Amino acid sequence: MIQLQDVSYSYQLDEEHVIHAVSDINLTIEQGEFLAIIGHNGSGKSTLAKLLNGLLLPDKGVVSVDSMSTSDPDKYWQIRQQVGMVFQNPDNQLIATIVEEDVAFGPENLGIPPAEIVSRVEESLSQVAMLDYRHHAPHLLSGGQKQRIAIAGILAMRPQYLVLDEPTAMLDPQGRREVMDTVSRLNREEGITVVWITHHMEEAVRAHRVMVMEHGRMAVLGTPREVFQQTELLQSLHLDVPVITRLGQLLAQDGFNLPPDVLTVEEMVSHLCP
Amino acid sequence: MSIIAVNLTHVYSPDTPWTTKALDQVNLEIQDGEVIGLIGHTGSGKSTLVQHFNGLLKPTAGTLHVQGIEVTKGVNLRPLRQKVGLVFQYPEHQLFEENVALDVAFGLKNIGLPREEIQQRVEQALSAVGIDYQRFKDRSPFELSGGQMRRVAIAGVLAMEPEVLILDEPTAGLDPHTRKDLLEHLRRVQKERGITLIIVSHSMDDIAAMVNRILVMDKGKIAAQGSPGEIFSQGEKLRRIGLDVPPLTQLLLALRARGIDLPADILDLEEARAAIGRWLRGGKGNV
Repeated sequence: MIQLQDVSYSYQLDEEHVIHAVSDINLTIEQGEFLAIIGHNGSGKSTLAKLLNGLLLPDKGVVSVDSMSTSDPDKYWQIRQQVGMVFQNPDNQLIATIVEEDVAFGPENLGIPPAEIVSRVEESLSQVAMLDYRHHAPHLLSGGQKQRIAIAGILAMRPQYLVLDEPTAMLDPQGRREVMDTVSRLNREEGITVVWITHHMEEAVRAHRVMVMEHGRMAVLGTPREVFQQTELLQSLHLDVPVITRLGQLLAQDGFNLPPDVLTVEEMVSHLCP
Repeated sequence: MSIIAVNLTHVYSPDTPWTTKALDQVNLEIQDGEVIGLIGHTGSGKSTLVQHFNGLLKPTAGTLHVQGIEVTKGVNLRPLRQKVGLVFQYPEHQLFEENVALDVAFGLKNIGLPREEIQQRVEQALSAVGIDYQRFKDRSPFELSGGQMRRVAIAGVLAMEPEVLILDEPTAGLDPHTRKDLLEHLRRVQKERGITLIIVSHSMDDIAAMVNRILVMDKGKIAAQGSPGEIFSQGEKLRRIGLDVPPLTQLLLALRARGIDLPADILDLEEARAAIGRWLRGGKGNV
């Protein structure tokens, strides 16, 4: 469980200018949960992500991972191992010239014995369906494949939590599907807790809970159905409502019997068709 | 003038084990003032294609004429690059000057324009992308938000007053509101200056509303071209080559697959609302 209690963080630009990137956040991320975080650029999503594994330390309040405070220097490595981070640009996260060496980098740094590293690398690459590429050069892979290698590198450290900051922003639709499906499966089958930051509402629809951020604060938190039926609020925050949800709401306004929380094309078809 | 490619072919690393044919006999013609959406999955050849348009790459075979200039090995790059502005992905990574005005002026200084003209063009270019000159000119580009940095970087290319403006994934990583706003500015610049605008993207949702024509690339070839409505209604084909179909089109295609007579080429939410409403009022659906 990751707990945030009254967490705030500001960037000091110069003597006069301070940006309050995250303000007074209270949030509990449960074991096994899939939490999506949405919000426009500059709403504080990425800062929040970096607070979750101690890349940034709160100015105020406490972030704790399995009861360990990120501000406790003795827990620094343990927390980093427990909470793995994946960023937007896969090219900035891959360092080795061979896929399996890249995946081995993290566990090597943790001082894991070589025999175990070999088995962890195999296991992690299978978890992201990239074992066949173990001897390939990362820079020759597609964006989605590179991002899955980055995820394997994190998995090899056996984390409980995966925090992904717009992991699909640079990927094409196919790459996006690959990464989304991989992470959903890790959550469902391996019980890894996922925090998924995105601009794509269609991705957020697949989460257990969605948190909307605005000006560093939590604007809404709820299930995708609860959140996405609040059309006016989301539009006032410059966010999109999934277009299918919006269509359902508009047809309901026209007098047709449709609920305000239709999320997917399949749901809409089953509502409309006899 | 325009862009005309005849059997344009590009091979990376020829005569090595890694040789790849990135462009395979591409034929196309883009007219002056057109707004083109170029889509395709990663590795389909779209970036390779646009890098030919300003001479970053040269054809391995076939010919390419851009604004009357033939792009070949010996081409004089300077006039070509002044006519064709190419904005790369994440152009904000290329900002480097100490303030916004200097950054936008960089290219203009290099071509030796007089000071007054530089000043005027910088102001115009920034206002064209929705950045207030007076407020931002002295700010460091690195203190801006992601969306603002992106605009400043695009202004640097606009200030060169290209006849053809190409943007590679201009909205990647931007939130929906910023995305819409940036595209509206680009569309306005295109109209005012009558330039040719080419937007490379793998998310066509955004740009469907603003382009005249979509070119779909796959395996180094033009796999399909037409109006956005024509292209999106070919849902299965797009999915087969790894592209997404916008959710509204997916819905219409799914309803059509169930024998419901609705048009597949609707891109606009209000149009979809009206068409589905008409069908439901006809008493056919179950709501």
